[in-house]
Amino acid sequence: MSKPDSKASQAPVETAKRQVQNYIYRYGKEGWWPYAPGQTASTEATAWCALSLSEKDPLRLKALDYLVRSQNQDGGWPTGPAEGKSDWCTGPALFALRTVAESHPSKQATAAYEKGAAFLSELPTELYNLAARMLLGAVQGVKETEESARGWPWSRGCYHWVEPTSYNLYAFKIPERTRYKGGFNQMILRANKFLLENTCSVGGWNHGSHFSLGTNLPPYIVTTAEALLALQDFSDHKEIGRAFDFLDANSEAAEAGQKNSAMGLAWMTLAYHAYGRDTAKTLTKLISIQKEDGSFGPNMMVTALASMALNTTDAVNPFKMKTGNGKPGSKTGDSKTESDTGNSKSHSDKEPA
Amino acid sequence: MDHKKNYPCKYSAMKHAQQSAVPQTSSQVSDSTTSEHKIKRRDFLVSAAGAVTAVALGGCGGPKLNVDLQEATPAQLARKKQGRSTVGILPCPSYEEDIFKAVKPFLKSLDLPDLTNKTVVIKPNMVEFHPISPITTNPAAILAAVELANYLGAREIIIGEGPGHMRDTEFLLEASGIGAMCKKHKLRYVDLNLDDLEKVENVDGFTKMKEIYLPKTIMEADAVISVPKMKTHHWVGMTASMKNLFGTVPGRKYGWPKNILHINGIPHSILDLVHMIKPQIGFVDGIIAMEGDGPIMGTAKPMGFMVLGSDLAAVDATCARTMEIPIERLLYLRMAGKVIGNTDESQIDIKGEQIASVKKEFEMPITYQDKKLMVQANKGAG
Repeated sequence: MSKPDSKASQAPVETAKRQVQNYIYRYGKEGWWPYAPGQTASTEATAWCALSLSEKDPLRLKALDYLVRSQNQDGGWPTGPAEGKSDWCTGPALFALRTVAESHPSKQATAAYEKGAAFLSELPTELYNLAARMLLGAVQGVKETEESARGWPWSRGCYHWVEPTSYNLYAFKIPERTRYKGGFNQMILRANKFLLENTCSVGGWNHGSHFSLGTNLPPYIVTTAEALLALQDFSDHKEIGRAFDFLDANSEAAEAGQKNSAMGLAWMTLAYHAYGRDTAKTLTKLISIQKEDGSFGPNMMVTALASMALNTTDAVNPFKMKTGNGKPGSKTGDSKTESDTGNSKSHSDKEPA
Repeated sequence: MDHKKNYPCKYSAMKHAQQSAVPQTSSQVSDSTTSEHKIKRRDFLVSAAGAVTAVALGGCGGPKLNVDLQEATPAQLARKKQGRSTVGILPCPSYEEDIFKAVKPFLKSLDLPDLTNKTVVIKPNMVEFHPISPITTNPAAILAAVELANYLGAREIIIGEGPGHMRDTEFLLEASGIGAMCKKHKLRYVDLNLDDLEKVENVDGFTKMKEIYLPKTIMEADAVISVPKMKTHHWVGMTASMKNLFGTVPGRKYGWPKNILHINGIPHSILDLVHMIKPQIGFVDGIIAMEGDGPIMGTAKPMGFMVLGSDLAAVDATCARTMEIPIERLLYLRMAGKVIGNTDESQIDIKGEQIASVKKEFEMPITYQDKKLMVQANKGAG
C-alpha cells in the first residue's frame, strides 16, 4: 500500500519508522541480530531484520555476508551459529539472502542460494517409504502420487506445516519464481497444493490441518497472513478470498485480541499490502502499540516485521511478488499455469493464467 | 496439544489410497464395461493393490504416540526416586481465593525441597488460547507458585514458557492474563521458544535423540517448578506436570509445534525431558480442569483443588486418580512409575483432601474411547 492509500497519519508513521529503524540498527551492528537484546545470533531474526533495512543500507550487505558465512555445509541454516543440524530457519535465511543479493549480487550469494535451494528440495515431508510410494502409485496413479500435497517440516523427518511451507515458498516464489537451476516446479506445486488443501472451514489457516477428530480447527491470524503471502500467485482462488474474510473479521472485532499483537498486525499489514488491500486500520493499531524504545516488544523478529509493515507506506514490501501489473496472480507477468496447484478442478474457482 | 492436526496429509493420503481401491463414480464403472470379467479382474487387482498398500502404509513408520515403549534398561530403572512420596490435594474452590494462603498450611507436610538462594523457573502451560476453553494455567495459580517459591527461599524467580502451537507469544501473554500478572508483580518472563540454547546429551534416553537443544534459562536454573493445567489429552490420555515439560523445548530449533517430540514418541519424550530437566516440584492447577477433547478443544471441569508434590510421577498419578483415569491406561505414567518416581497408590501419602472425596469421572477424548482411532493414532495415521 502506497502513501495515498493509507489513512494512517503520515507524521506518526514517519516517526514510528525512524524509531524502529534506530532500534534495529542498535542491535545489529555486526550484521546479525538476536531474538532479544543480549542474546546470541539468530538466523531467523537476522533474516527478517536484513529485509527490514532499505535496499541501499550497507548493513544489509553485512547481513548478507553473515548469512553466507553461517550456512551449513549441507546448504541449510541452523537456528544460530553452531546450533546443530540445519532446520526450518533455512527458509527465512534463503529468502533474505535471495532478496538482499538482488541489490548486492555476488558469486558467493548465488552459490549460497543454490546450495540452500538444493537443501530445501531434499527436505519436503515424505510420508511413506519408497516401497509404500510405489504401491500407492500403482493404486492411484504415479502422477497423482508424485503430485500429492506436500509441504515442508520444521525439522527433517517430521510432518509438514503451514509456517515452514510458507517461509520456503517465499524463498522460491518471491519476488518471482526462482530461475536458479534445480527444477523446483513440482516441489512448489505440491507445496501450493498443501496450503490450498488445508484451509479451515471458516477460511484461513491453522498451523497444520483444518480438521481434527471430528472437530473443525480454528484459523490463526499469523498463519493465515503467512500463507496468504506465499500464495499471491493465486489471488483469484476462492481460498484467498475466504482467508481475507477471516482476517477482515478479526481486524474489525475488538474482542479477538490477536489483532492487537504486533506480530499479528505486522503480518496482516504485509499480507494486505501485498494484495493491494487497505492497510490503514492495521497500521494505525500497529503504531499505537510501539514501545518507547522504538521496538514492538521483546522479540526482534516481531520488531523487524513491524518495521517492514511500516515501510509499506513507501510502497516497499519485500514479501510482494512481482506480477506485472501490481495485482498478485494477475495474467500480466505471471508465468504460472493451472498445474501449479496440481489440481485445477477441485481446488480453484478460477485458476491463475 | 492437538496432535490430530499434526498428521493431516498422512491421514488423507491413507484414506485416499483406500478409497482409490474401488471405482468412485458410476462413470468410472461404465468406462470399463466392455467385459464383466475384465471389470472384476481389474477391480480385484486394484483392490488387492489397495489392501497391500494399506498394509504397507500402516507399517511404513510414523510417530510413536503410545506404542513401542520398551522395557526400561537397568540404567533407566536406576534413576527412580527411592522411598515414599507425599502429594497434597489442596482445596481451593476458585481463582478468586488466595490460593497460596489455602495451600500454605499443608506445606510443611509435603517434603518440598529447600530453594534457599536458588534461581527458580516456574513453567506454566500457555500452549494456545481460546476464550472459552481452560487451556492455559490460570495466572492466579502461577502467582501461587511464585509465592511458594518465595516461601521456599528462592533468590530469583523467572516465569518461563515456550508455547507449543502459536508463535505469537505476546498475544498469548495478553489473552491468557499471564502477561498482566507478570507485569503487576514485576516478574521476569522468558520466552523459552526463543531463548539462547544449550546442547544437552540425552543419556540412556527412551527416544533416539542423542542430544536435544534446550533453553539456557532452563538448564542454568537451580530448580524448575512445573505448573500445568490438569487436562485430558487425546493422544496420551492425560497431561499434567510431566507432559507440561514439552513447553521447554525451543521452537526456534524445533518449530511450532515441537513435532520432533511426536515423531520420537510422546511417552518417550516425556520421560526423557523429565530426566534431562529434573524438575523439583509439580504444582498442578486443578481448580478448573479440562475434560473431553483435551488438551485444546475440551471443556471446563471444576475440581476445586491444586495438586502439589516434589515427585512428579506421584503428582501426576494422583491427578489421574482424581480424574478416575486408570494408571494402566496411561503408558508414560506407567513407565514413569518405574523410572521416575512413585505411581503406586500404596507408596504415596496424600495430604489435604483424600482422592475418594474429590475424584470425578472425566469425559475422555474420543481417541481414548474409540479403539480404532487410537490404533490409527498409534500408527501416526490420525
